[in-house]
Amino acid sequence: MPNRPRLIAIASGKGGVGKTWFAITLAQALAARGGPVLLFDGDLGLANVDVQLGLTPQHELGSVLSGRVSLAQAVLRHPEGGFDILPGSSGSGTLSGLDPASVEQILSLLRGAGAYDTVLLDLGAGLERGVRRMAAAADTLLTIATEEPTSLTDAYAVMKLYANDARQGDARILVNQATTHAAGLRTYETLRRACVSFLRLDPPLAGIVRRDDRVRDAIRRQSLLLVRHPTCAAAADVEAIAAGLSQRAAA
Amino acid sequence: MRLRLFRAPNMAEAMARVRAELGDDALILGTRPVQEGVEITAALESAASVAPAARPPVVPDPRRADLLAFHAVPETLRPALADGPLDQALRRALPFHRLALTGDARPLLLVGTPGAGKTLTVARLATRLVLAGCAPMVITADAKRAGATEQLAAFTRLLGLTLTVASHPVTVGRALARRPPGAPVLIDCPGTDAFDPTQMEELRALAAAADGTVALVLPAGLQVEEAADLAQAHAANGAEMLVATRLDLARRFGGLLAAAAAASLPLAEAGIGPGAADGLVPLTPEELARRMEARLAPSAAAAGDVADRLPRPAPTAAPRHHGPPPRREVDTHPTAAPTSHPMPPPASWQAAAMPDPRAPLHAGQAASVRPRPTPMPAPRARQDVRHAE
Ligand SMILES: Nc1ncnc2c1ncn2[C@@H]1O[C@H](COP(=O)(O)OP(=O)(O)O)[C@@H](O)[C@H]1O
Ligand SMILES: [Mg+2]
Repeated sequence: MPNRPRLIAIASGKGGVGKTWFAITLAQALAARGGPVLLFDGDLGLANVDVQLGLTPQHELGSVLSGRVSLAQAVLRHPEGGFDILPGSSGSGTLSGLDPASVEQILSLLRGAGAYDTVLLDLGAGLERGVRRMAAAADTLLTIATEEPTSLTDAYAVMKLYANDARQGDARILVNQATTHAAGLRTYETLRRACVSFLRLDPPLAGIVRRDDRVRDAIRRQSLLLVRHPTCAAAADVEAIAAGLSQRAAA
Repeated sequence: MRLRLFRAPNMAEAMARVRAELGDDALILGTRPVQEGVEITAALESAASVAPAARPPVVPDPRRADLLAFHAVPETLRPALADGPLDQALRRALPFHRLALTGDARPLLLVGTPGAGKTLTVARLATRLVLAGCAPMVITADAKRAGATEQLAAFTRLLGLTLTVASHPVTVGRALARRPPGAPVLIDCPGTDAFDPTQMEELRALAAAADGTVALVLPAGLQVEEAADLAQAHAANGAEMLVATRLDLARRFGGLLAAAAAASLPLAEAGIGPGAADGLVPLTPEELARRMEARLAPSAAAAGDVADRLPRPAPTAAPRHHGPPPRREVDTHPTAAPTSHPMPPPASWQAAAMPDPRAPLHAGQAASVRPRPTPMPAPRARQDVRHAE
């Protein structure tokens, strides 16, 4: 039977919470644990994975969807990260502007990417149709929140749609930029309580990533945190989350 | 969800502010000590429900596109067949009709180009009716073509039916006046050139005299425009449905689909193999979809073709006989006969090929259609062929 990769979508509703950075870093952490990883830049148009990593894609996503270019030809191999990237640069705008058929096409392309064990989807900001559909279609949804109230309400909005679209699914909460571990737990509990009370949904905690200046440093240098600052707090946090995700996958 | 943070020197004051601003329905999501005292995170959820999930849209299946291209399905039909299960798409896109050959139905005239499979279709429909215990009246209006009568007679003989020859509207009318009560009527028409006005005029006169339903017999595998033209010409001359033939031999069904669509002629029956009893089946969307798809699945197609050629299991129930029992030359209870070599199962005669039209059979040769250890029955009193003209 052909390998069917596990699709892990990363959403937040709000922008700037660290989705793209986290997706990149998780991709490397998962790849380091063994098992090929593909990172799909679902923040189409903004092409933020390319930018954060300083990569220049050779092919547009549209060429892959139309069949002119194969998936293997279109992916970029990150030389140090040990994972592949499918750029979202398409000229067709963001995922939210994509027509439903193209969204389904992307999903089946990713589901059929049998060369990978894990496909990470960086869904970009917003709650538009395409984002909503991909969040619901993923095997696991990681909803990222920070302690900011606006991030909490946006993360809650993501969970609300998810509760409606894929109630039985596997959605987890990830807190990023936490001042301390305890503060991150409090942020999780706040969001969890809202989900339990209003949505009758009790999402588990995927993990907490602490705020760490090394993150901004790595991004500024267009390099990977696990390469540049492999022993910093945020690196350890992401590695712990990767371990937790792998465990659940094996179980 | 509305989310608000409230800070106050103490808990009671903070809670009072929450109630004042969010009301009694406010939910406390969290509290934490801060420099000024305490911070409460509270939320209010509006009752407004979530917009229904964007249902995954039906995505055009690239393999479907390949399938439609392979069958040379006309461009105009492709959007309607592009997605969803093929049988359901066919059901929506094309007309289908279940042929009802009841005793009180109007006579059924089989028309079409020479060699389309009209005579074979009449023979198969007659066989189906006899097996169902309902002996039909079989008429051939094809008196011109050498051997045409004998070809059909060889079959009606096997079924114990009398073949009536009537090729002129007047004689057809006369023959039908003697239609046995409760007998469905099948009329084999001469092969016609659909674009010859004289021939089509004659066909119309025949159909009018019989007050019959005209079914166009159309071989699968014809080129798309050819098939569509043919169907339209016949529809303009009164054809009401399509009987497709050679589904087992043709590779591409675009012509068939084009004919049904262009002429709005419902698909009724399909010739799927050489058997007399099982070589014709009602043409349903499911049957058509299965056969179309089998053509692109190499292994499945091969298996399907083998299955087409294998004799089907014999009907489990013995033919029911209503009204006058049809006379049968073929012993359907071979176990009753002494066997010198293995008896073919009853199914094998049902699957027997049509007598070779190039070698017209005589009464005494009918049994040669299959190996038969028992001698022929004594000469029959009743006529095999009756000339009405
Ligand atoms: N754990 C962290 N510690 C410190 N800064 C962070 C952390 N995570 C994200 N950031 C900062 O947040 C910014 C936005 O991150 P990005 O991945 O682009 O967010 P998004 O994809 O959600 O819009 C980054 O430039 C980085 O400076
Ligand atoms: Mg981003």
